This record gives sequence, structure tokens and C-alpha cells, in this order.
Amino acid sequence: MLNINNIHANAGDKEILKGLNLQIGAGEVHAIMGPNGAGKSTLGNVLAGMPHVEVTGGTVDLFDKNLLSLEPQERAAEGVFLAFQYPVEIPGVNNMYFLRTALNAQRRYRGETEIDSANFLRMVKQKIKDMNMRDDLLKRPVNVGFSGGEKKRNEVFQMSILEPKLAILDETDSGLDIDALKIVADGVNRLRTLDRSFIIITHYQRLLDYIEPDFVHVLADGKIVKSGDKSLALELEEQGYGWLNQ
Amino acid sequence: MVGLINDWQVVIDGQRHRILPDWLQQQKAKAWVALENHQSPNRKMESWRYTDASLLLSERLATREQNGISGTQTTDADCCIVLTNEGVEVVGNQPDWLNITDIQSMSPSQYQPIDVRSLPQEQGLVALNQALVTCGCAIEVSSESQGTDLMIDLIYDFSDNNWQFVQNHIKVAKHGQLKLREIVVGGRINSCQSWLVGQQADVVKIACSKLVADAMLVMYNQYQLQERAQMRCMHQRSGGMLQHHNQQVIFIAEYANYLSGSINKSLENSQINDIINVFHDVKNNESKVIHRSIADDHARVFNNAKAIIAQGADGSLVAQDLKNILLSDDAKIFSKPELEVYTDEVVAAHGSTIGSLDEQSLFYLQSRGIPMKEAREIMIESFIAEAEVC
Ligand SMILES: Nc1ncnc2c1ncn2[C@@H]1O[C@H](COP(=O)(O)OP(=O)(O)OP(=O)(O)O)[C@@H](O)[C@H]1O
Ligand SMILES: [Mg+2]
Repeated sequence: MLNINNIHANAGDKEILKGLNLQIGAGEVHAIMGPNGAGKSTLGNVLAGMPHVEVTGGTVDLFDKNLLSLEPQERAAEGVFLAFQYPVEIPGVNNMYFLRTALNAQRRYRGETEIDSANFLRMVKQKIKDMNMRDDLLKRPVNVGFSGGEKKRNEVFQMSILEPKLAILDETDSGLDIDALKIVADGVNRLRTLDRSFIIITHYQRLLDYIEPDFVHVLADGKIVKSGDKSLALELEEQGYGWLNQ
Repeated sequence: MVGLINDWQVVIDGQRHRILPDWLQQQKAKAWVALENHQSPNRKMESWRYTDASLLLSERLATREQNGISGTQTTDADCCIVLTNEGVEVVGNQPDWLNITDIQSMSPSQYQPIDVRSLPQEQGLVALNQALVTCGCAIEVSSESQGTDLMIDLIYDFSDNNWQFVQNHIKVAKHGQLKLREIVVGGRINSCQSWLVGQQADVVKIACSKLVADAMLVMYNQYQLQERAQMRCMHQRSGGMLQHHNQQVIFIAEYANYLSGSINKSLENSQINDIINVFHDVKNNESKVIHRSIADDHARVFNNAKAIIAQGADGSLVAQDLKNILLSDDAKIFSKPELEVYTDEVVAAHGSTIGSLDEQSLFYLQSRGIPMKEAREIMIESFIAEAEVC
């Protein structure tokens, strides 16, 4: 469903992605690991359409559509979701209002009918319970005053409402306590279906105990330098990244 | 030097002359003479440097459409005080604790003079008001208002072609409580308001001037706060050719509190000036001023918050928080927080920023499926929400 072919991308005059290739099939979970500054978040930003990242070469196709030609909101409506490494705080904008606006904007784009507030509320109540999040977070401004873990959980909660086809989770496990980690993993596992795919960016093998990946890749210096199955994550955990250069 | 009144002669020629009490008529005559010493607003004056003051004297477009925008149609308040050039009218249920007197029958004891203490250049338009005032009222709120939740609207309903000079004198008694919503939609209005907020009185004022395109508004408000008085003011402004707002706050006793929030949305060719001067004459008072302004297209905003802390006014708490957003390359904003401190023991915080909408946040909204235009609107709402003090 997703075909990333020889992508080159710059951020602030510096080449970060240097010919990256990755194919992801429907229903697959791909974990991406790699040293700090390797370009993992940049890859997520390229897929989501972040304006500051400039793609200088290569192609990205999602279901045979040229993803790079679409605006960020169009990519979202086509099914791309990025759980941010650092979710943004938006004071004065209520979480519920924000989510309903987002969901209805996506539905409009796809030519579907908009959801009314009663049905939206029903859906949200159920999902917030599933995520083991406090109700009052819904009424609060987006991410404002949320703890680090609450912000991450809120990202997964948004994902469960928007039901994307391709979800990219950028270090969603960082800063979570053990219980929260299980909740987030459960949230992801509940969304695993035959036609929904995941890219999970993480530094820790621990998350992969809960979310079983089909593939593990190492991203270093702007490229995928090694791919394997779950055991690669264990190897990395034991030996670090140094041995890859040898 | 040409006297201020000469410049205005053309503009005010069509003014109706209502019969005012002798004592007021005499004051007007005195103010008229004093006008000789004042200048019309011009670019040499700081508060008019970024504003096209010549608009004040411009003729109105003949094709203006003002019918049907009378504020009365937009209100849901229980009690409305409607100001027109025929006089003042009270619509709805007037509570016992509320006394309203048309300026035509006002007594000298109800008159609360305004003394412009800073920005001498601001005196001209106030003097003009004092020389030419024809309408307005005295509003008195007694102690019996304590515990009320009633919203009272003060509506400026002028659809006349000419400048209107309005004065309101508002007194809230000890322990009194008042929620007043002021609504201006159209016309050309020069208004002075003089408030005396009594001991432990609690006032909420929501001033709404969302103007039609060719309206102009010049407002000067003076607030005098007595001991433990609480005043919260919220200003919602947009549109019009020119809006010039000036608030002078004076603490005349201790432990009072003044909180002001302004939301200035200046779009197309609008020009909005938002000036506030807080005089901490006495110790142990607190003032907080929050301005949020946005300018788009060719619009302009001038923002100035100043606090003057007198000698001996220890224990003063002062905060000024001015934030501005420019939405187009042609828009202009000038923003200036100022502190003049003549004593030692003061806690003061002030800040001013001018920027654009936060790109990270815009991308966050877009990445959830919200189109750029809507995302910008949400971010603007987010930005101004901080100034919503009541
Ligand atoms: N806007 C920018 N301007 C300049 N450099 C940037 C910009 N954005 C990212 N970079 C640089 O690009 C490199 C890759 O950043 P990226 O965030 O993709 O790394 P990462 O693999 O996600 O790292 P981490 O594991 O620490 O999250 C880093 O060296 C970073 O400093
Ligand atoms: Mg990263």
C-alpha cells in the first residue's frame, strides 16, 4: 500500500534522508529503530507533509496515489496519521471540538456525511474509556497542561477516532510508564486490521514485546541500512548500533 | 495654529442642539473656549502616528446602509439602555436598584468630570466632547444590586450621518454589582464615560464594538476605583474605518483590582488604537492588562498599555501582556508596553510580541485533516482566547 522509493529530503539546508527505500503492505507493522538524529522523525514528517522538510528526490505512493503532491490535510483524509514525537499545545481550543472538526473535514474530503455531535460524543466516550484516559481531558484545550504521557496517549486516542490506513507512531512509547505503555500498545493492537498498516518509530525493544512487528528496520544516516524480523530488535538492544558499521 | 473647533466645523454643522441644563451649558461654553489650546489629532502625536487621523474629518459616503443594524435587534438582555440622538430610552425590566437619568435632566452631582492625566494629545478629542456633548445619561447602581446576575445592555443607536458627542456618567455604590454590556455597531461616535466604582463593588463590563465598514468610534473611559473595588473589562473590537479607544484607570484607595482584556481584530482597511493608562496612585492595588490583536490586509493596530506607579504606591501588582499577530505583509502593528515606577516595592511584569501564526501548530491541525483556511481560523481563536477575561 505504501511505496517509498529513493527518497532524498532536506531540513534546514541539510540533507537528512539520503535515498531511503521502504515498502509496506496492507496490515503490516514495521518498526523503525536507529540512532538519534538519523532521520526517523524526518521520515514521518515527509510522509505527513511537513512544510519545512523539502523533498529533493524520489517518490512516495500510497495506494497508487502520489502522496507528495498532496497537502497535509489531503494526506490525512487519504488515511495518513502521524502521532507526533512532540505533540503541540493549542491553548483555547477544546480537544473535542478539534477532533470533531478534524474528523468532519476528512469526511467532507472523502464525500462522506458528517458526524453529528450526539454520535460523535458516543463514539468518543467509548474510545476514551478504552484508552483509560480521564474524561476531563476532552474538555481541556488540546494538550495544554497534559503530562508527557497524557500527550502521547492523546495522540493514540486521536488515531483511534480518525481510523487511518497508515499510522506512523513517532516514539509514542517514550516517557510512558509501564501501565501507560500497555494501554497504548492495547490501543494500537485494537486497531490492527488486515488493511491498516503501522510504522512504529522507537528506541526500545520493550514496546515490541507488546506490539509484535512484522519487520524491523534500522535507519542510520538517512537510509535503511538493515532490515529483519523481530529478532533484529533484540540484537540491537544487546549490541547497540556500532556493529552495523563493521 | 488653527483651533480644533475650526477643523470640526464642517463635520458638526448638522448637529442637533438639544436643550441641556444651564450648568452643563456653561461647562460646554468653557470647554469650547479651551479648545483653542488643542490640536486636531495628527501624525506628530504618538497615539496617532500609525493612524490616518484625517479620516476623522472625512465625509461619509452617501450610499451608506445603516437601517436595520440597531443594536436592539441583537440583544437578549433583560434590560437595555438605548442611547439615540432623541435621548435615552430604557427597554425591558428596569430593576429598582438601577437609576437612569437623561443628560437633559442630569444634576451637577451626577456629573463626574474627566481629567486626562497622561498623553496630552488625547485631551483634544475629550475637550471636543466636553464642548459639544448632546446626548448620554447618568447611570446609578445602588447597593441593592448586590448578588444580582442581571445583564444590562448599553446600546449606542445612532444612524445619523454626523458625529455624535455622547457622555455617560456611571456610579456604582458600595457593595454594588453591575454587569454591563456596551454595544456599538455603526455611526460616528465620540463618547466619554466616567465611572466611579464604589467600595467593594464588583463590575463586569463587556464592550463590544464590531463596527460596520464606514463607522468610526472615538472613546475615552475613565474609571476611578475605590477600596476593594473589582473591575473586569472585556473589549471585543473589529471593523470600522477607525476605532480609537483610550482607558484611564485611577486607583483612589487600596486593595482594588482592575483586569482588562482586549481582542482587536483589524481587517481590510480598519484601524484600531487601543490605549490604556493605569494610575497606581495608592498602594496595594493590582492591575492586569491583556491585549490580543491581529491585523490582516492593509489594517493597522496601535497598542499601548502604560502603568504609572506613584511614589509611595508600594505593594502594587502590575501586569501587561500584549501579543500581536500580523496576517499579511501590508498590515501594520505597533505595540508598546510601558511602566513608570516611582516607588520601590512593586511587582511588575510586562511583555509584547509581534509574530505570525505558529507554523508547528498549523501543521499539527492540517495533519489531522483540517484545511489551511480553517486551521488558521482555529489558531486565531486560540490566540485571542487568552484575552477573554470575562
Ligand atoms: N528544521 C531543521 N533544521 C535543521 N536541521 C534539522 C531540522 N529538522 C531536523 N534537523 C536535523 O535533522 C537530523 C535528523 O532529525 P530527526 O528529527 O529526523 O532525527 P531522529 O532520527 O528522529 O532523532 P531522535 O531519535 O533523536 O528523535 C538531526 O540532525 C536534526 O538536527
Ligand atoms: Mg525523532
